[in-house]
Amino acid sequence: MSVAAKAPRRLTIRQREALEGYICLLPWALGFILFVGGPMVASLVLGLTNYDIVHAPKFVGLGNFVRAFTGDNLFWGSIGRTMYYAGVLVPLGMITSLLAASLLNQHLRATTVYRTLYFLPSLTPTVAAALLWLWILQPDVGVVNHLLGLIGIDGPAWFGSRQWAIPAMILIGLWSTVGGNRMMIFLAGLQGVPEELYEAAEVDGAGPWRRFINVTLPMISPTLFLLLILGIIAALKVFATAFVATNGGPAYATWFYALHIYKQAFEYYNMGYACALSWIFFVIMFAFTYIQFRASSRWVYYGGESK
Amino acid sequence: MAAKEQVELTFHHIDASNYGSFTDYFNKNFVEPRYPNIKTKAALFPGWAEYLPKIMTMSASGTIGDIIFSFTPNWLATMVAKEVFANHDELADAANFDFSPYFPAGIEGCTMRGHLRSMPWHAHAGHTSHVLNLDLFEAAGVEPPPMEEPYEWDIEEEVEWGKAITKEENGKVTVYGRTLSSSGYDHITGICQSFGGSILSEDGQTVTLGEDPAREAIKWIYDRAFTHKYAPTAANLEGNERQMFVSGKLGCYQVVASHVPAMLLEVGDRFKMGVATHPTGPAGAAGAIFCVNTLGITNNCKHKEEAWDALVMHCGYEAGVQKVIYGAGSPGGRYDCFQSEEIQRRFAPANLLMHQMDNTYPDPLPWNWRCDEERTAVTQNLGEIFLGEVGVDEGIDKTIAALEDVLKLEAM
Repeated sequence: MSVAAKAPRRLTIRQREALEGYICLLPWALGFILFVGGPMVASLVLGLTNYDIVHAPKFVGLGNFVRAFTGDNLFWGSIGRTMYYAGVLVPLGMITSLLAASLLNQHLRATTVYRTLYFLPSLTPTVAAALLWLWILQPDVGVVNHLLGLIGIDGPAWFGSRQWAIPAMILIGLWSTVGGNRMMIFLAGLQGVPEELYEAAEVDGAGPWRRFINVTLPMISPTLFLLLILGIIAALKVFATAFVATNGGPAYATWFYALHIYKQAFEYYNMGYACALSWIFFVIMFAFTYIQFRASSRWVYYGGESK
Repeated sequence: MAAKEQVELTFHHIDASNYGSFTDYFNKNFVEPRYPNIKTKAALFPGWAEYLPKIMTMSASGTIGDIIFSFTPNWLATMVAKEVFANHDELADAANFDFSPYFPAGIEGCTMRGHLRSMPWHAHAGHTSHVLNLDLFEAAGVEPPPMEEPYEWDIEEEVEWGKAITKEENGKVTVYGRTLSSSGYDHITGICQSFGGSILSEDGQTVTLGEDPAREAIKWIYDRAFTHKYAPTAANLEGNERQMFVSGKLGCYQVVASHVPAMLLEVGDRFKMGVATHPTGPAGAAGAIFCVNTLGITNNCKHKEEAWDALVMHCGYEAGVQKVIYGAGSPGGRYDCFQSEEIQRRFAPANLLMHQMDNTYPDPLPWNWRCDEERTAVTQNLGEIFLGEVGVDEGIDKTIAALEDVLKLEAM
């Protein structure tokens, strides 16, 4: 007795389209698993071990996390310094970039030239910018203190002072980013605000400031939201300038959290502990991002949405 | 006689200060002609910051080469703790190797955890050379420290010439007597030794920075800038100390001995430059640590006997002289290198350096070999004192607390 051969199962059109989509996604997915997801999982596992690169990891459970919160005298200080840096740089950076974009949105002559000039500092490599600003902020012969001296202000010691080292870093951060991509994204957002809204507001008697507050800001709020999230994440990751210009000094004044992770991993070979620190950092950034997303419903307006 | 097996040896070095390129040059022009069975390959790393992490990673993955560069004490200690270097005792015994031409402190420095771990490639006495702007001394009408035998001079003398050289114009200091010499671990250790103190006890288990001799040493550095005012603080630095010296704004710059030949070239015709040794302090000692830049055979090397043949050539007399001719730092870590006619002619401070290297003091390592963490704790915490933001005693107490935390860590 023969058994009738089963007809091969054919994919539906939807299944075939889905399969084609997954095949197209495959290169990205493989890259993500190999270079992002996989290492993230590995670092989570290594964060539960003592691992010095050379010897096999030794499981210590939550010991690294306990050490971070209770046994590392640089942990809380580095978090505090990083928060200080980000807490000042991000709002200042957003305001100044928006101001620069607003100026460029005035349709003046030679706007292209101004846009290029504003953008140029953002193209300066971090190392070059750090070395340049070490000289600009030199307390005795630097340009900044010389200009302050002309108006009767005795300039601070900048990188020669624990109190002024982070403000100096903030200055460098502002100079590098005010006219960069953030300004360009703001400009695109401003140019997307419908003119008729401004005309309607003007007809209703709104002055420039009122139009800015009640028309411009709400209309660019999605842009503001995006840049705020990206700006906070970027600021919290501050590393390169501190590594090049100060190596965490003077006297730990610029010993930021990312630098602390680097030192633990690549100079002290406490790789397991560094992984734990990285995951603590991830949780902090995730918390910030989550809070912003939750709060966004109160102030971010998407066109066409009714509240 | 059976032909020796053909082997390829990979050398790792830093591609800076001509170190890596000299190693490759010496291999091609001296080692390979001498040992036709040896072919060499130089795998150089671009800079100092990248070298150690890359070496560690390659060692962990089993891809590290055969002969690599290191220096004492912290790098060598880290590499030995991580089992990068092979035990060289057997190789030296098998070759009946004669260590007598080498500075004894150099061989001691290369011996860690009871075994010889590498060989001295070149040696010096740390940050103990004081390069002098003799024009500034002359203009100030003061005698510089001695540049010929006897080299000893008293640390008290620097107050007189430091103040005399320091000049002010329109309320700003334009020329300083000497560097503060506070930012480097070697600087601090050297001064402590001059005062009869140390940062750690000999067994590396206890912090001795708080004892009187070390406290007085730290106070001495502080007084240079804040009491006698002849040294620039971090706030007064224009660029860095080296740039200030070359620009003629410093009477004296404390530098690592191996950089003296390069400094002679940098200064050029700007002013007349001299070199003096570290001053003698109240304890009758001129603080100095014996520092060795080493080459050693890795545990990963599959041809250790051939590697030993190449290694002893690189650490021998010929290489020790050739590297100065090539422009790759100090002479080799042997007396005969420093005494050679070629070095005496080309390396002006050769006799001074030899004198320093015969008068060095041990620098105790932390018991757990956490040298980099110890050094960071010292330089960052004492840094507050030298910014003038905390008093000397308060800063020292903070540093002691930080060092005690380091000593509590697990052994590397």
